[in-house]
Amino acid sequence: MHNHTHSPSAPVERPYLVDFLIVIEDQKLDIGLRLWMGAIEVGLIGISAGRVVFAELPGATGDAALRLLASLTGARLAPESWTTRGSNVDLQWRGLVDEHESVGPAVRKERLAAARDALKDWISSDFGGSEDEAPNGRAQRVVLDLLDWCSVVAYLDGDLDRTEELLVRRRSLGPDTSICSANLERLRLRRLDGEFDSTQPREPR
Amino acid sequence: MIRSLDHAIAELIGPIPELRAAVLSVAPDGLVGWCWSREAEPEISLCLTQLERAVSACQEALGAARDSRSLMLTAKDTWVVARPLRDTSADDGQTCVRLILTIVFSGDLQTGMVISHARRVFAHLSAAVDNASQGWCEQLRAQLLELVLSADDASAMIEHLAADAAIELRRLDRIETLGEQEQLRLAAAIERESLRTRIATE
Repeated sequence: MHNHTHSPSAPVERPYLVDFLIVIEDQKLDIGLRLWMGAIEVGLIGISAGRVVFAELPGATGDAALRLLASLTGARLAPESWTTRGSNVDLQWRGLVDEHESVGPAVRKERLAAARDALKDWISSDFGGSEDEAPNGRAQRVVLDLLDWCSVVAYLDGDLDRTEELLVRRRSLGPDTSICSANLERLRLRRLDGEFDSTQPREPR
Repeated sequence: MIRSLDHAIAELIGPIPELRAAVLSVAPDGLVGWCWSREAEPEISLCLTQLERAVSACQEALGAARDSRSLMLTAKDTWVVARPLRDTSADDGQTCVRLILTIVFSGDLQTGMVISHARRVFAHLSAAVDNASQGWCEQLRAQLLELVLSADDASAMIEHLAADAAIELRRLDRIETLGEQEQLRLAAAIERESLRTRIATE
């Protein structure tokens, strides 16, 4: 699972996308914001000179995408450098602030301050931490996803040896996730059950 | 395939704000194939598969027909819905290996709406699995897997392969989205890499 911890950890209101857009517009930045829900990438927003110029998410682009992304209040943001990839947004995003928020000025102020701090950190680290964009990280993800899915397919085919081989390989190549370990454990329990059953006299069907 | 499921669920996260988690597991042992949760809590998938295993055992004991088994667990503002996404033919009369999709909804919902949302999620993810399981995708995936298993540095090999096929690395996440020319280039690059590996090991 990916770990994107770019949001500020202080126990204040977590800034929403619109909070970042306000601060970024003030600072006239060029920046890309990738949005994540859980471990899944759900969208991308491109900002040029502080203006939102690009938005996309699966199934939508442009204004519709921006409107949907702004409504995802639980999304985490990961910054990346933005080089112009065309423009598809005409919407005046400032309208989204009123559309999706009804918080008091104190909370808004807190969120804007948190957004400013996060942006400062991102810029000072030169957008460090966007590990999913690093070629090697991406290649490893391709490998791990392939092993994860192929182990499922092998299990569906009833090939427990192959399933175990792939899970063991997956664990050796990537972080030892609780899910991979649990899958291996369940598989080994199944095999133990099978060995036990094979030692028992078989009941006629 | 994993990214195809990510992509499919991402299309539903906005339209169904009550969607909290989804887990694709394989019965009867409850291996987790893929999972997503709004709060990035992958461990929830382990609890859900335990639940599904227990329910399966119970339904088995009750003699419930396999093709109609499903689960709906209701709390005040949380629903868990599970049902087979796809049955496979690996049924020896004693065990039935199948993909199970378990979905969690949280929020102010009525049961009818939960059923409606669940149908939509099942249909959407089922279509994603079918689309990514086309014969040519499976074939390319199997060939890629053999290369990965024989490579000393699998990540470096994948990077090299993508460059050789002139395909952006991130596109290998979702093979089913490759165009016809890209498929051909990838197949040719795989063939070259296999040959290179064979020569190196001989």
